[in-house]
Amino acid sequence: MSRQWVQLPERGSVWTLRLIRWIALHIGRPASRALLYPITLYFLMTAGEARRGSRLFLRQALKREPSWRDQFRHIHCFAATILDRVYFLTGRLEHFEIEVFGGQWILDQAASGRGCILLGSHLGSFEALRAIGLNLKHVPIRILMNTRHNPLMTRLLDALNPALAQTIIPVGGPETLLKVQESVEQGYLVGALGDRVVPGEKAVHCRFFGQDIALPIAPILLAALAGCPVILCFGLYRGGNRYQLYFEPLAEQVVLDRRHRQEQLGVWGQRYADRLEHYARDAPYNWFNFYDYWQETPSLLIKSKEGWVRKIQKMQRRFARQRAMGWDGLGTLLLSNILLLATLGLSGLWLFRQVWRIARDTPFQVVESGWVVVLGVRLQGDQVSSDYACRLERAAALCRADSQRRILLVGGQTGGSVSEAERGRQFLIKKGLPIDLLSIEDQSLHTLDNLRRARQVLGEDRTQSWVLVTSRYHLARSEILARGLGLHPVLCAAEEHLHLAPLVLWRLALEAGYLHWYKVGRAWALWTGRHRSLARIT
Amino acid sequence: MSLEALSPFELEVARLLVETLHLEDIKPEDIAPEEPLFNEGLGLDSIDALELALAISKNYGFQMRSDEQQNQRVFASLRALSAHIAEHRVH
Repeated sequence: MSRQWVQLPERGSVWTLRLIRWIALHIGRPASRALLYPITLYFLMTAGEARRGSRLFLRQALKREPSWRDQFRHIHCFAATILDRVYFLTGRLEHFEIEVFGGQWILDQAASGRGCILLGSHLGSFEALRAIGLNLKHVPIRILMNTRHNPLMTRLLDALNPALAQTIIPVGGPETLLKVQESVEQGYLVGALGDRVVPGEKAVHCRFFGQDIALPIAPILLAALAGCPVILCFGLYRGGNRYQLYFEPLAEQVVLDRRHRQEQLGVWGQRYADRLEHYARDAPYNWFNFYDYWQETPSLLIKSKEGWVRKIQKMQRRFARQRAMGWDGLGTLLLSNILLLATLGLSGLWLFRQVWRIARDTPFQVVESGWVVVLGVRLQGDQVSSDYACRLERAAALCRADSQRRILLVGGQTGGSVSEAERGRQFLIKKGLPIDLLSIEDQSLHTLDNLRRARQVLGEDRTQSWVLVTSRYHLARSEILARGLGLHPVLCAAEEHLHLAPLVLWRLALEAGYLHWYKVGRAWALWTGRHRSLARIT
Repeated sequence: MSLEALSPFELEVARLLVETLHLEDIKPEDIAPEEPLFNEGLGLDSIDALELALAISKNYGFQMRSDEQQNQRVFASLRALSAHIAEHRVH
């Protein structure tokens, strides 16, 4: 339920990108970097999918079970390179200590006037490599990029460096590789990432950390068809302001024989995989494929074509969601943290006080009749958690006390095999409540959604009073979100008293943090006149 | 067999297509002239387009360009591709 407390704007907008740029460029890198810690912590707590991907990769690379510190470091490394992107793309290289290994390969290639394929990966920062290209004006570079599945990145580029945006070759359509081939012929070094397979793309099986993966054949085949060399490149982030760029030749020339083409492509793919593994071992925290790399890629090859196209599309939608959340969430979260810092934490403290007072003072009994709405809680192993049980018991008690009351359970399927609302209903039936008193709404996935759906069920009659039952720590956020939606519930606490155990204090602090972010995001949306995004939270 | 018959030149281009792309389970005369070549239809991709473009330049002596608008049309079907080659061929 509280996985995503509120999905602020769904898509990144020019405003948010400007905000990130403004923060990065005006607050300065050291202060911006300080903000990465709370942000990393937030992502570590909420982005379950990415965390799982991180764990699976680190387990292979570190050859041990990764601790939460390892995972923190992994996500922090990613966040740091995202922030640095802004500096790279705006050409502010003075912040960085950049060491280049094998740079001669690039310079020689550019001097020869022949084009080549610059083969990179999602290991480290491709932007760091690109920045070098920008600095060396006489090295003509073009980048093959999936602009359709990556509209935010495209907009970011446009906003930060329009000149660089011109050098993008968009992926999609039959002419894509024709364009690449033309560029190579004109002497361009064409950059491409070779470690992810996209829908409909031809791939070969390779071994990576001793297990099967699929790699796209396009880069190698392209080099073969264009008769040009392939140079590998890796831009590794080494912490602080240090980056190391590595260039090395993969192939001077790729010659393929028609009959054995697939095997030969497999051999080249394996050479790439070996180098990728080499650098991934060297800098494991630079691995930015935050999903189950071994599981997801090879299975794509085995499944029927439609099956895996759908699967990748699903995967990509998920990436897009995470990325959208990434930029917009990141922008407002940064702003929220800056405000916290600027007020020396007082703004957070003030909200904590508010959360705590509502948690402490809200009554356990109510007099109002009518609907009793219970907000669901994420199930634990498909079972009702103790928090949820408390809320349900309270609602049951209210119903028994007044026959005019009816219960509405809200909460969708968040992880388990059954929805929160359905499990809650079964719990109440077991407790002896008549089934006709119980309604459920099981499509919503988080508090804001719960409330929005509840509003639909309750109807537009805002004069009718209704009761909202939830845990004490959760009351303040529920009330503020409800008010944002134009709802005015009568609050009823699930627990008789607020017990100030360490865990409860932590939850209250977390709620204060959420609220801080919500208020800042809302103010930001209002201020920039983003009515569409505001529509989501009102 | 497709319902529509291919013109001799379309059949020639279809042969080139099948040969270049090693479409082992497809007979040139079975390609429907109006069916899309890419994505749905024959299911060709960007690599195939590049290979096809290279084969066309070798066989017919003209370069296909990556101009986006035009290619959407040219690669739309066997018929469109054949017409484009017929118009631009040097030999």
